Amino acid sequence: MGLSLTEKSFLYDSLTLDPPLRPDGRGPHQFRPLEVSTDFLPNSNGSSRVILSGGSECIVSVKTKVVDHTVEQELLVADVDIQGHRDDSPLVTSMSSLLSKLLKQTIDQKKLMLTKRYSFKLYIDVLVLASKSYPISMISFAIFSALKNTWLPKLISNDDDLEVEELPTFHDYDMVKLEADAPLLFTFAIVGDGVFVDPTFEESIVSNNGLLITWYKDKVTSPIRSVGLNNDNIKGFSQHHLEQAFKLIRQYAPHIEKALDASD
Amino acid sequence: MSRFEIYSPEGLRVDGRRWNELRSFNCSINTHPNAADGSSYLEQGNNKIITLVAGPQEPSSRSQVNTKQATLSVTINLTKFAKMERSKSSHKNERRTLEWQASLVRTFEKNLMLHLYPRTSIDVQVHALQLDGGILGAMLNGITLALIDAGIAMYDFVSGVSVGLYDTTPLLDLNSLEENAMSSVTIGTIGKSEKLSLLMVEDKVPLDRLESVMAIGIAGTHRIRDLMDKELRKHGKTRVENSSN
Amino acid sequence: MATVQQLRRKRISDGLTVTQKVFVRSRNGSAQKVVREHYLRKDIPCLSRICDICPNIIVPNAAGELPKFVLSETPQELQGLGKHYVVVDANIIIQSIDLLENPNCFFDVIVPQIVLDEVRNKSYPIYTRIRALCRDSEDDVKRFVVFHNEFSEYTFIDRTGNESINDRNDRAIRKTVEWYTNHLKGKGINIVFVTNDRLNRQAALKDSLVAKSLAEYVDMLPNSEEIKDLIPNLAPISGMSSKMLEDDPEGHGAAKAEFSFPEYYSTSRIMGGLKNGSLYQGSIQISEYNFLEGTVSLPTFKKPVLVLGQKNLNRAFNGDLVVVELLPQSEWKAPSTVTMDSEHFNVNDNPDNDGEDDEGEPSGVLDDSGAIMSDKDRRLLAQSAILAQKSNKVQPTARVVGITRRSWRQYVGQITPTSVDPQSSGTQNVFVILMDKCLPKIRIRTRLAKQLLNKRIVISVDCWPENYRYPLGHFVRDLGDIESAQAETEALLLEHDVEYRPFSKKVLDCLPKEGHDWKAPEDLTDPEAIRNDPLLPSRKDFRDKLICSIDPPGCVDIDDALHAKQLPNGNWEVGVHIADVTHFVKPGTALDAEGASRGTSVYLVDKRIDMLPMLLGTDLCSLKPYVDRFAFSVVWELDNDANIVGVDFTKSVIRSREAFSYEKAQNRIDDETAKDELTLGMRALLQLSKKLKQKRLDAGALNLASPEVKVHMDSETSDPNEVEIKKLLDTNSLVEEFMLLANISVARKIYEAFPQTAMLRRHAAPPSTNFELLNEMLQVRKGMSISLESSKALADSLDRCEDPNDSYLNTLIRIMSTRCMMAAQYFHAGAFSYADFRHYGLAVDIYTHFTSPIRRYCDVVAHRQLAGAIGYEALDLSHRDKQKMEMICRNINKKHRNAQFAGRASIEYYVGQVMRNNESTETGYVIKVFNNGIAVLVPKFGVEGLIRLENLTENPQSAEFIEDQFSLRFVDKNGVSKEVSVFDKVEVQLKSVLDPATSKRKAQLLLK
Repeated sequence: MGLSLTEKSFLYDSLTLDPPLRPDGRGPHQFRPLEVSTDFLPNSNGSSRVILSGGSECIVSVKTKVVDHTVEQELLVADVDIQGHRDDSPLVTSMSSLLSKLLKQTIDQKKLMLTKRYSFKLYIDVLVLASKSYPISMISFAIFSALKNTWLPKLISNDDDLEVEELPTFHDYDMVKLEADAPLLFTFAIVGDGVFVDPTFEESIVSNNGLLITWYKDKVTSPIRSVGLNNDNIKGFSQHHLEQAFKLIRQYAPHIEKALDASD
Repeated sequence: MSRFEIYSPEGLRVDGRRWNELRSFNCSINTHPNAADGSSYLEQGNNKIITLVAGPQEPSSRSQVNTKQATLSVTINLTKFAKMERSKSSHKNERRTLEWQASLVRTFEKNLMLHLYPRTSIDVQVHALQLDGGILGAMLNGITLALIDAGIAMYDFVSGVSVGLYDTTPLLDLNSLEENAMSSVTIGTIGKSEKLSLLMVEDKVPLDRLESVMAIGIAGTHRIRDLMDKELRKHGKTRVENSSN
Repeated sequence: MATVQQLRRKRISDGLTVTQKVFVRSRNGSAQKVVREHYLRKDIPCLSRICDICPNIIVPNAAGELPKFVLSETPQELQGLGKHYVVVDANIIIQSIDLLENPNCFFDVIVPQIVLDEVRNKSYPIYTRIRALCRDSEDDVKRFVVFHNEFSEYTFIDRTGNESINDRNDRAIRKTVEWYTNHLKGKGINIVFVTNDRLNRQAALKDSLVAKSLAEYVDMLPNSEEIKDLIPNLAPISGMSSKMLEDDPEGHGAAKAEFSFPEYYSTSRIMGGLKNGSLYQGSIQISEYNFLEGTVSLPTFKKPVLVLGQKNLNRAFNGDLVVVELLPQSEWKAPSTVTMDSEHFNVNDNPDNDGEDDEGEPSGVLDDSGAIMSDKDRRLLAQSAILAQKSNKVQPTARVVGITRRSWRQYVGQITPTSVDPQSSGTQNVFVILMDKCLPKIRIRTRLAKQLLNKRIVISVDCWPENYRYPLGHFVRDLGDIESAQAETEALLLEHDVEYRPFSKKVLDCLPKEGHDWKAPEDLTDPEAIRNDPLLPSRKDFRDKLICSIDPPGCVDIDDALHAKQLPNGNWEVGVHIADVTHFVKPGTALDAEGASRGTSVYLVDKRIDMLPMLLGTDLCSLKPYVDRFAFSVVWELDNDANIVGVDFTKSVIRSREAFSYEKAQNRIDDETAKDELTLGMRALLQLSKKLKQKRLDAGALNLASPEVKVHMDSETSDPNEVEIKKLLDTNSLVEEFMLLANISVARKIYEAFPQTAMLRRHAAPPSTNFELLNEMLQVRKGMSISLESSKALADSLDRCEDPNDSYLNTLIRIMSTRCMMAAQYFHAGAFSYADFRHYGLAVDIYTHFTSPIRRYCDVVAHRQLAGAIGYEALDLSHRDKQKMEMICRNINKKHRNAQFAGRASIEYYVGQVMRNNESTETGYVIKVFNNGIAVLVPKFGVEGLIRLENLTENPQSAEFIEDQFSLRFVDKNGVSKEVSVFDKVEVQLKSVLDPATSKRKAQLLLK
């Protein structure tokens, strides 16, 4: 679905007005309405579903397995499945590796430790059912709220098993809430002088460039990178675009975090 | 030795149902109005499946163009997290998945008026978010609902259910625990008829018992058909009310 | 932080609600979240005949049957309880199932589903028994019902916050009691909750329910005096019964710190250890010579690992599935060469002072493991253990650290007189010595100690807490006086788990209505007969064949008959006709279930326990002479060298011309004047059988021996008065050869038709380690050896083991070899690959049992499968299902083994009785030499006995055990220096003595 030249130029012009005018009337800092539900997959330890008003939808499941961490060091696996894209397509593989890396950096793996030998391994499976725009932000929201609502079995056996091995045994009913903070990722479209959070498909098409910015524990952190939201009219961007984006994030990200956290 | 009484002398199954009772059956249509042309969400027991239909639409490649009728495709996505224990592989290219896809296409090809939509493709995606036995039957039901939502002309409902044979007792609509304990058959019927549109026997079932197994299966699919019909009418009514307001 | 997932309930239709069960399954260290649907319903009936509500809510099952209302409208009435039904908890069932089965107490009992589930998970056999009680309740005697409280909308409860699963389940039972109480309130029937859990009782009382402990409840019964002793004996420490604590004037349980077994490891430690290879699991075998020595066979080790001493055995019973841990290398030992039995061990222990450590074994031995050994070190230890096993002397030893599954059942024994206080008339603790000498004595509490002296009694083991030296049990039943034939026979049957009760009415109802008047139809084409039996036209009429049967004298259950006829082409038509049992025993009937469960008939010296009712076994199926009988025939065409030219299987009607005993048949064949056709046929059979036998032996079939003896009974007094070794005549082997041939032919046929489920029998080649000791003894003492390369080599090498001076030596070696062989086993074809079907002893590639369907269940299955294979009748599902066949095989293997043991034990007992009257001097052979004694086999009586060193010499210290020579050197009672070695022929004085400690009669041997 393309836009005609006239449409593009109209859209570009309205976005570069002062104040800018987004086609759906949002301010630069405003997200599209977002629907989040959690805990709808009883089979999983945590689950969430994020639906954007445009029909984009993402489902995240968190499952666990007990592993011997002296043998298996990978305690976090993020696996992305995007409808309509093959599992080995660049979009899917880059998204999987970006998320895995990011989660490994941010989630405290000591929280997964059960005994001196055993840990929980978390499998974070992402299913993107439909996406009109670049999905990473939606995925990070879904992962965030799924992890916030993840309950792990409660260990009842001895936690010192280095010398004399014990297989961990668990309470048959009680679960412990996982305390993990996941990063939130924000995408911005750069159009002219302005930056616009959560760009729609159409906004992406006319953008000069895109920004991906990570928010973790009340801070803007890496990765911060530019993303091409379309294939033509890519232009460079300047420091003030970044600062503008950072400012927006610092101002609004805590609210979003709070909203997602309370969504159970 | 099973830890459970699969079918107790008092006539109750592991989950408390009797031999001829369906599991809880909940469905809704038009669940993804912005993401697809037709959609449904179905819970049959603890199976949870989302079905999305795209089409009739222009085929993505020339090779799919059929001048006589629409080209139907079904893609099954059994997610890695759908089973109790997370599976390592996505089941996308497994032989069983491919077989199921083929038999679902065959079932619906005969029941849809595909000749009304020449040179188009109708693509069905089934996402299983949670599995608990009898998934093939549940997929039949989910696809039927999503196709109806997409407004694609069809002759009648296709409804499906699995039936197991425990010793000599046929048990309707197996959950995964029961499915592992006995051989089972999946049945798909057309509307309220006794006509079978799908019969899948994946384990050995003694032929002399097949008749009683099918009889209860057909009765089960008829009940499912009625449940789907009820939901559709309810949905239709609310839509009419909303639009007239 | 604990969570309670609020379970949502959703109504899905009238009377049906769905909810979710969520729990964590931790198995093998995993933590799997499990979610299952759970449906609640309103149509679960109370099953009381007095109820006028429930009959309106019931629905039929898949077969269209409605539930039966079982609980009586006039249940037992007791002082203080009124008319009442009883609800029991899982511990009551598990510990007191005998009491629940007792026909004189416990009527109208409600078993909540949650209780049944717990019983099923803890003990499947007890689950089957309680299920049987419920099933048979339609007979209106015991009236047990299962109430599915977990599925009833009215009694299902959600778990509340921080409530343990046990607490929740206890509450669920109380909820059931409450529901029943209210449900039947206006009907004058009370509900009594019987539980030994004090807290549960208190909670019930708080809810104004009626709750009693088992002891309290039994006390209220009119016949409580006779029942009290049957209450299980539980350690008071468990807090199960405060009542029992009060009853405990000696106050044991208190001040018990002195003696203590090591504690078992925690489940997580055991699972972890098993997984990483520092602990091992296997079934423990207690040595029959030394009850303080056990061995555990583990796949990791070539030879079994030793477990020595009371503390290391750590309360394991013979046959328990145990978890062991290797001991440090410094404690590895050679297998003991000492004999020890529990009856002579600590004879003077006082059952009331269980705690005192007077056994002399330093109690600290095991507790010095203060330094924890890491799993890594343990695995290194395992490496050295494997190496050590290669050398012969020192063996790795281990200790039991956990018991996975108890082999406990009911045991037969007798009270040791020394443990009874003749002054006391109240309840006292006494020891019971069990008949199985591999087991420790059991401590029971009884008021009947004095009455039960000199009786065989049945007891049940309840528990073995770690601070008790002996397990605790309770009295179940009195079998009668020691040495009374009836008590001894029953004891023997019980010990070997042989079902000997008369057939139930349900089973007998399956027999033909005509009874003994049943007749095979005269005319197989008679339309009337065909209407009754549509398969009749497929039968062949063999009534013209000259068929006869040859059996032991006095045989009434004639399974098989034979005929032979020369064909015009010079070949022979040979027929084996087997009783057509499956014509009468149809699958799925109570009769079939009973036969399948008994598995085999059991032959004792004075008694036969039938697998099938007499009417079939000795009349309708038995191929008696002069009458028409249905048979299943195998008819071959054999050439003059007994090669098979063709074979045909068919159902038939036959008329046996004569029933011979082996001896009579032999005489008839030998009688040269007899020239009639029947005799000619028999002679032909004999000739052919000899050729068959030769072929078998050429192929490497083994001719092993066991010391088979026969006890002659005085026909007037039924007292045993003579023992003879069984004689073998040519005619024995005549019948045997053709039966083997029939079995092999049938095996091939059914395997071809049912390659996955055919009922077959295999015999594995013995592993060479089994023969190690025997070969070493042969080598050292006789310079002979047994080859194990093939069955042929084994057979040949056995033939070579001849001592020109002693003709019996060969038989002796054969007897000892038999003990080194593997046991043959039944299996279904899907369980093994074709190469493993082989029957080693018979040297054939495939084999089954077909020829004795009256007395073996394997043959019944083989008959049905053969009938299916020849298209006579469709094979029942249960014999086409691998899992069901597996169950059948497992059962008949067990029953077959038990029957053999029971038969042998019976002979042993009667031989003892014979010897009691005739003290004599006989020739014996030394078969094993110990540090402190020798084991001697007396061929004449087939008895084996131990001669202890004390009975060999006045001066045991002077004796010298020369281990590598298998010899014992000592100075005998006359002061002459002597040396006895394995295989030596010795003269022994034989007499039967009653052991004063145990009242067990056994052969006592003394060296002459």
